[in-house]
Amino acid sequence: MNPLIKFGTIMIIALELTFIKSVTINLILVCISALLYLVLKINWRQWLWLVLLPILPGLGSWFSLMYFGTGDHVHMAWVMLTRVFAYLWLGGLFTLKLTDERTLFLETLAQRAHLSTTFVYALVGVLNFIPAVNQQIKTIRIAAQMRGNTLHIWHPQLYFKAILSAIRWSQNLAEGMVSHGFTEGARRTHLTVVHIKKHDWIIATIILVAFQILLLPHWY
Amino acid sequence: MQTVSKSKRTRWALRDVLLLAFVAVFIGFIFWILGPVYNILSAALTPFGLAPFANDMILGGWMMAAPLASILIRQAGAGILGEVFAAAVEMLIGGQWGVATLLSGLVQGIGSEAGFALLGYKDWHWRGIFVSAFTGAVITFVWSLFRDGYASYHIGLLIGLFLTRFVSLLFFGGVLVIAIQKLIEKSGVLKRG
Amino acid sequence: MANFKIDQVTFAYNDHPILKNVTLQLKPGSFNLLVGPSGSGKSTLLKLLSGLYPTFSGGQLSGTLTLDGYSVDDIVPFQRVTHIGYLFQNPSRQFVMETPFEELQFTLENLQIDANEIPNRIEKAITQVGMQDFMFHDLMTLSGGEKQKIALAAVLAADSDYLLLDEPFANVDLAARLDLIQLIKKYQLKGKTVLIADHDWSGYADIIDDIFILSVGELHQANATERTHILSQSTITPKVVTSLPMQTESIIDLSSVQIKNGERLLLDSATLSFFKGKKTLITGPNGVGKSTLFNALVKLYPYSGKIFFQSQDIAKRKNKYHVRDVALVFQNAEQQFLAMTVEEELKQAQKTSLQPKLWSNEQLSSLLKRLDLAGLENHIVYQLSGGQQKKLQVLLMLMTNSPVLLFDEPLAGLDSLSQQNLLAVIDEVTRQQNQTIIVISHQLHVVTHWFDYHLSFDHQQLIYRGTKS
Repeated sequence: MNPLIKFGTIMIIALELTFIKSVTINLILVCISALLYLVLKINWRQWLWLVLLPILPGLGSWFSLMYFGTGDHVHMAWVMLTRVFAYLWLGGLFTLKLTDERTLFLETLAQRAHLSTTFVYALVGVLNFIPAVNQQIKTIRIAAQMRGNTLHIWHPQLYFKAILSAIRWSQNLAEGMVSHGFTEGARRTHLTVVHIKKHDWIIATIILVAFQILLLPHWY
Repeated sequence: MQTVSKSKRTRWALRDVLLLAFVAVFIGFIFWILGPVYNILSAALTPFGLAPFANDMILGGWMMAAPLASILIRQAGAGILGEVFAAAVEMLIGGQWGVATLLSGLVQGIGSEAGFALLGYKDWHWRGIFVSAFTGAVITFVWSLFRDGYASYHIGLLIGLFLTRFVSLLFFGGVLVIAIQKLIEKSGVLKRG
Repeated sequence: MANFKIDQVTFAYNDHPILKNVTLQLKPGSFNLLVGPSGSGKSTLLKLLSGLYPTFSGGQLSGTLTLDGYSVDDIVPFQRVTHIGYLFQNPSRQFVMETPFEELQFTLENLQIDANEIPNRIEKAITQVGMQDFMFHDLMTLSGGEKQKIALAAVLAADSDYLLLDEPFANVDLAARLDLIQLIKKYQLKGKTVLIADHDWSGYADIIDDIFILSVGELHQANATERTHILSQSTITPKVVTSLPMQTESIIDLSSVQIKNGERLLLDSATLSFFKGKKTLITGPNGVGKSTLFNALVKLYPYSGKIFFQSQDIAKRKNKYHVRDVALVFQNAEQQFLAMTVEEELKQAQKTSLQPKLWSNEQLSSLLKRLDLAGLENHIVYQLSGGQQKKLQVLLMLMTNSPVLLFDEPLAGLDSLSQQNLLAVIDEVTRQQNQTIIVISHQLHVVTHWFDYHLSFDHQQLIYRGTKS
């Protein structure tokens, strides 16, 4: 399935989930995701990640609602606990496959969703800078420590130095892109033309319709 | 030959978009480093049912990309874009919340942007920044009522959470952003064409 | 070939002129060298010619700078690039994509080349620069020379008529430099026009046509005498006079230290010591890993094996304490500033110095005078010239009184008087405080007798050089 269609489908369900107070629906989504993960053959590390990650935020909400909730707060506590799992397991269907599909996702955004190429390539460029950004923040902090100052997150100087790097790097990258012919708003050719298959649309529609039907009964 | 001056102008200049994106990533990373601290704090508060406070305490930091983008680019939409960029990058590098991050990013961006919009996009200094911190707290709190189940909390806890979030935004999105802006302006490193 | 006209070009920032009435005639199909001291405006000129400035710099441009009658900066990039190609000094921050293939793909898609033609063009260009084995490698892990070859491949793929290069070999080792010069020459012989700015004039004698000299914003073509002078510049590196270390009291010890960049091995299992209270020079080809070694010493770069500071494993030391003992004077001065004005920086440094008593106001004002920084106290550090920033940065780092100070190219970009003054100040201050200093430098002519020891870094090895004492 095209990653953008998948993303859109998941996004709509996730948005709806925000307003649905049902433990059953959450659990159904978790189960369906689990089945899909079996088909996708994810490794044990990813399973562990899926199981462990939601526990802390899930329990955080659960305890709060049990202690400090009003009205049907016990129900809501379980809704929140399961919702956190549903969000993550649903989202994982997109993000866990993203390393392989990132280029296709961004290409689809540019070619089919007609998102401005300025945004798409800014995103691509910045993603390739992530390791450098990480290193630069370390450098900023250590450079200050050499002079006997520790920059904490409440020090404006830390952000100022980071923004200074952002200003310099964005300038360099902009010059680099333009020197390689990038022109804002201009037409480009595409080495691989992205097509969204008809059956991707059909599957997405079926999933969304089925989900709406699922919502009809009054679930716990 | 084709010239730039005769071409259709795009609303978002490449350099500005790249600056937004870099600022978003830098801010994201500064707070990402805090991840473990946040998790410990949140775990420690969980048995007392106070975990949401950890979230609300740090929210202002997560949201800093938005007001910073607004004051750097001074254009309608910059705040939303900055925050969405931050969320998109987090999602694309495999952040834990994936798709949900993008939704929250959008809401947070709208929240922060609303402040500058209320003042007609004319004030990019302390007034605008503080109003943006205020609207940011209100709009994200409404979102939390639904998404994080805040609607079912006791009124006392709700007030406590709102105040925590408000103070967090006032500090990170207000006081700190104003201080950063002063540094940037004094240093003269940002040339505005 | 399009008609490139550069006539009476004047360029200024806020009424501060950078270039004055520059007229430049490049013979079609020629190879030209642009020389001039750092800060003379070479980069600015090249970026104006490439059309990147003033779009990306602001400032006021006057005179004629046109391609077939169109203002160069106004031509849409996807057309301009087919006429004018550009190579940056440091390509690392200029690549958009992850791999060489993708970067060239990005370029050719921008130029609206037909999709069927793209793969062939990419392959041909990358093969021409001899990088076919790296087509799908991560660009970030390539060496400086390899990156420049890819940047050159992008120009080959675009088939630009003019090729402008701004100090393209700054991070490139000698062998790769010669390779690249040959590749550029080959490109020129296809009828292209080349203009290259370089501070190292070796290797050009047989291949260039004209030399242009830029000094304080004014350009002229080198006459016969100047030309001979430039091309005869000795290419033999000055001999550094040092002795082999005999002492035993070390301050930093490396034990089987290995440093890698991605898959590439930079330092192979080095075991050696740096000696207390001594001045050690590290030399080696560009891109060999000297700066990376410094980063490892201040815990900014991962390594395997052990590094000890005064017998303590630095991996077990807290960053905060370690870097007060072993501090690095970064190559990029801006990186080290913490305040806004020169005075605020000095105040901060006085306050946080490990030996504040040494840094009285009198002492400071005398040093400021010697470094030609007096009277700048109220200036914003980010607006100082490159040379002033460097001198201020060194002074601030001396003021920390760290037992070990690492200097990464402290003399680069300074005129020779400033170099002498700065060296004298470093020598005096560090001697007084019995500091250990380790310096990476290419400016050997000024330091031939300045160091105690000399380490050469080449072929993944660090070896002490010098005479037995």
